[in-house]
Amino acid sequence: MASVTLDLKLLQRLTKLSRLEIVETLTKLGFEIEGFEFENENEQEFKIQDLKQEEKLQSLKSLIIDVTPNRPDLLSTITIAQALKTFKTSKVSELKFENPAITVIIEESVKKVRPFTACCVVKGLNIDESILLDLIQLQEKLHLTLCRNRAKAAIGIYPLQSIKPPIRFKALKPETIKFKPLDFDKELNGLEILEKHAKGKAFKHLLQGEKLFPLFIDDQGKVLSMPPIINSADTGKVTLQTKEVFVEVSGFDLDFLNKVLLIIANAFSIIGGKIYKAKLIIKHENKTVTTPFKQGKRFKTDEALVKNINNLTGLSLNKRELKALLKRMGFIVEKSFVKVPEQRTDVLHWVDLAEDALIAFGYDNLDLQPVKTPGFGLQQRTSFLESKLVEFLISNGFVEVKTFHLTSPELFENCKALKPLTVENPASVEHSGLRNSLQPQLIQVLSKNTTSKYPQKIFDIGVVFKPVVNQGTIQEVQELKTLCLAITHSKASFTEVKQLLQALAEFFNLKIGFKPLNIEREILQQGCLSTKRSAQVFLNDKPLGFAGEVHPEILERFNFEKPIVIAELNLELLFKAIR
Amino acid sequence: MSNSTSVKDLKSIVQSLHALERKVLPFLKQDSSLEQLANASGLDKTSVLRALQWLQSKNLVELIFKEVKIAKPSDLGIAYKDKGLPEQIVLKTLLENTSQTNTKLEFGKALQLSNLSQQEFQAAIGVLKKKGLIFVSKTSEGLFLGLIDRDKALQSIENLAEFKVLQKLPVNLEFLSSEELEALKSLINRKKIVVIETSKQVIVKPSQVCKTLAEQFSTGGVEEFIDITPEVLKTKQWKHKKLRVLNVTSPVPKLLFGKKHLIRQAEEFIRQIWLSMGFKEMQGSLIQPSFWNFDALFVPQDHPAREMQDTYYLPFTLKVKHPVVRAVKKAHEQGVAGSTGWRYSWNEKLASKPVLRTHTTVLSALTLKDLKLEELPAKFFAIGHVFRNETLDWKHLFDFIQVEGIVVDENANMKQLKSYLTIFYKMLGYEDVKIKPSYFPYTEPSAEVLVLHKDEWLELGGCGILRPEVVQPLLGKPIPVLAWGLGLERAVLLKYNFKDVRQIYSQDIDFLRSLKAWV
Repeated sequence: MASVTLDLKLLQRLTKLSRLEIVETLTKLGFEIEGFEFENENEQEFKIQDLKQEEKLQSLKSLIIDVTPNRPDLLSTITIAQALKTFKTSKVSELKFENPAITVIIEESVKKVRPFTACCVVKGLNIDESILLDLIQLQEKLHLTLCRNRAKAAIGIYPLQSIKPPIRFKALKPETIKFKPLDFDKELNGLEILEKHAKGKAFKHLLQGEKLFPLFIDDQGKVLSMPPIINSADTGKVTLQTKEVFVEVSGFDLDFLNKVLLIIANAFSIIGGKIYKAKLIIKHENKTVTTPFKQGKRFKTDEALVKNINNLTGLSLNKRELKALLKRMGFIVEKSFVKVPEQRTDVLHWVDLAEDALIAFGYDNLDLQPVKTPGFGLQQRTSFLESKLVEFLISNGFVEVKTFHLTSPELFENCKALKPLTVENPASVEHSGLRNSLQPQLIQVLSKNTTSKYPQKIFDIGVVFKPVVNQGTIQEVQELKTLCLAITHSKASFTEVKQLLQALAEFFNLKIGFKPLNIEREILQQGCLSTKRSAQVFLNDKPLGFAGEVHPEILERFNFEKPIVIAELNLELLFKAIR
Repeated sequence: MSNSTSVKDLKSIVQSLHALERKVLPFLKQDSSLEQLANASGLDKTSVLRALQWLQSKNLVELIFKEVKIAKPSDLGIAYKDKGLPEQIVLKTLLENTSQTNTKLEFGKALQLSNLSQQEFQAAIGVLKKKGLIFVSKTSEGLFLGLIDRDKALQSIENLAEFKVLQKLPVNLEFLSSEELEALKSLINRKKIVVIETSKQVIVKPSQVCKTLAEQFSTGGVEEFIDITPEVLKTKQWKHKKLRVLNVTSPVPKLLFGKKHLIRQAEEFIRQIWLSMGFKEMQGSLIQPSFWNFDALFVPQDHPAREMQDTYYLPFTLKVKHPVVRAVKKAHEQGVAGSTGWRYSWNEKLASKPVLRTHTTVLSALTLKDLKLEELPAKFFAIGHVFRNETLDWKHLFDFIQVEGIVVDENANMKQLKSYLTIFYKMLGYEDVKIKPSYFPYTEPSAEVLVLHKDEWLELGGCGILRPEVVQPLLGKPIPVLAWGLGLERAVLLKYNFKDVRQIYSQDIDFLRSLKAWV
């Protein structure tokens, strides 16, 4: 999701709609108003209900909406204006390109670092401040979303008048590159830009380690930019006086770069710009292409399409009705085809047409039907047995607690438990280890409750993770559903927990046995328990788990003043044995 | 009150007295503390307090809970209490080692004889000089100490106010006279002798009636009223003695009972809805290869959701060996079932990275993979944990529960989906449901579910029909599969009016005990 700021004045100018109509149409298209900015900064009185009043809407400067990732073509006021206008008027204009107006030579040297670029020229522009800001918004949001924070593609827009074509896209040793980057008053070399310039620091990782850095250079040797980092201050700044621009999108996959270029070209076209193609001479592929090239996606509007869309949506549209709905969503309807607008990158299948038709029809207008799919309900046996187990525990006064699967490795260390497997790149260390036992977390819960009422009896049922390691590499990680229970009060003892487990076995008509633990805690890897006062629990001669008293060393470490007894059982085994 | 209390009233009080009350009563002749009563009655403090609370509900005593300051001797204070304060020791040393004639004792010698530390000794000298009890003289032979008045010195040893108050410790400050307080203050000023602790104390003030009863009980002969006990039954006492009258309005201690967690209650409630709608339960592993979690759901390999910042990856490899792999690769690279596909080179290595599953939709994918066409139509549901690489805060959980259902049916469509949603959410407690356009990579059309909650439309789930690029490889045929789901915790937040998701996972046992049942 990307949030887009819609300049209301610009939106009205481009759509000729009232503010109320704008809000209504946005809602129909599925955009929710997530926020607003005021014309007058002192004004702060605005409620959601005020969105229904034209008069109140007048106090707003802009609306903020969320745009879903499938519609990068809508990341600006300008392009949203086009969608709204088309939805209201059904008027669609097809994106057109003029013959090449510029040549770009893609040299052999960029092959390794950034092999491709897709470019065009736009003429006949009349840019005012709101349009300039909106174009910058489009560029930034595209960088963030579709271009994956510039990793997949980077966009540059330059005033044509300061450039002398043809343009060369080449790569040079960074230390030999020299130009004045935007927002900087002196020349820097390629490496210095990465170290000193704000954008250089932010996107350093995209060029770091490369022997050659890519550059756009004009015929006089002037640097336009060093993608994907920064434009030149001399040639790379569009102003209100700019009438003609050169646009380039550089990256790795020409098809993809062309898609990004189509979105930008469409935006320029909406504000009256004429799009001229660029002739690209790709030296490392020994071929010449012109961009933007059309995707030319289209669907045959035959009976099959109408039937498919009706089947999927549940509507009963005829061909004419379907075409009318698609037209409102910006599709170019011809006699026997609908063409997908060139800036749409998300249409892969007729189901995408079906969704757009349904949006135009209105999700609210879908009527309800009796549901028809037969079937009988079936609960998994393990989930049924789990409820039975919980029934036993709560009837014995246990309070259920829920702990997370990811926990702190430090906690496990403090409980002398086995080191948990950690996930890669966790957002917080506190929750980075996949627990292999529930005991440490229950001890932690009790440690936070020393002032709560006693006696305390708690349990948790959850999955623990046991890595299977062979010759130092993890082969798989077993997941075991586990029960852990803990009891604490002044007189809590092994007897109490043994009584409980025997009662539990009886409840399920099972027989369990207890064997002493005559080993060191460290070897046992059940570090919480005092081995002299704990038992291994067996079910049909298979180890089911452990039960016993928590070692005083652990009690002291967590400042407990009362003894704790704990049991932890493997429920996979227990449930399998229940007949 | 005493005047208006008749003998009859007294009798009615007596016949409602609990055995504990009867044990405490004889000692309620005057104001006293809880500790005093416990000592006198031989009961533990908790029992005495229970008895007192019952007596209070009968208006027999007034209980005043207050914070009291207790002065206690420190370790040093305990030692002084035993052997005397340093100034007393110095005086004693001088008395024993000087005489009317030999009035002076050398400083170093005095220090040695006193057995005090240098610091204690010097402090004592200071105090004694101030009180005019000793003199210090400096001669060519050194520094000497002597007593000014031997009688006064002797008196001082015996009557030192600080020492006397020290003997009283530990003591409630309230019980000290102003002179004693003054002396205590000077001890406190000397540091490390006295510790002041505040503690809660219960002061018991018996009423006039209570005092009368106390007299009666201490002299004995008050008629005994019995409770129903094994003893009473065995000895058949109940036949000739009267049963004690219970005060059913008096408060009783809180019962600690077992409880299912809120999450489990919500899970069970929602599972019941699915079962009653004829859905079968799905379960599966929390760790899944990226292939089932993402690729099989047509999520392109460079999708932002697959980045490390959003997903928990695990450091090993889980290669999927299944015929579906080839079909999924084709769906991504060239498209299937009339789709153009994503058109990139699909990488099997990336698909083999294990993740903590990011959605329960992975279970739907696994179910579809095993489903045979002759088993259609079919309906499934899952309630399970999912994970997102987030920092825990009021709005975000990194480990939470998703609820999801699918309907696999040749005749399924968006109208059917909306109809299912209406039934499902109604059972969940929401009368009004609507859907609005949205986006998920694996459904088309996609929608967000909104419910009317307290006059406000709130988002409570997502839905859609699985894309043919998902279904074709898994099922072998692009049949419409309705899918919808919601975050369980969000439903709990709305139901319990919590503002912070962390409340749901609170580890405060008393808080968990206090939560009302999911009804």
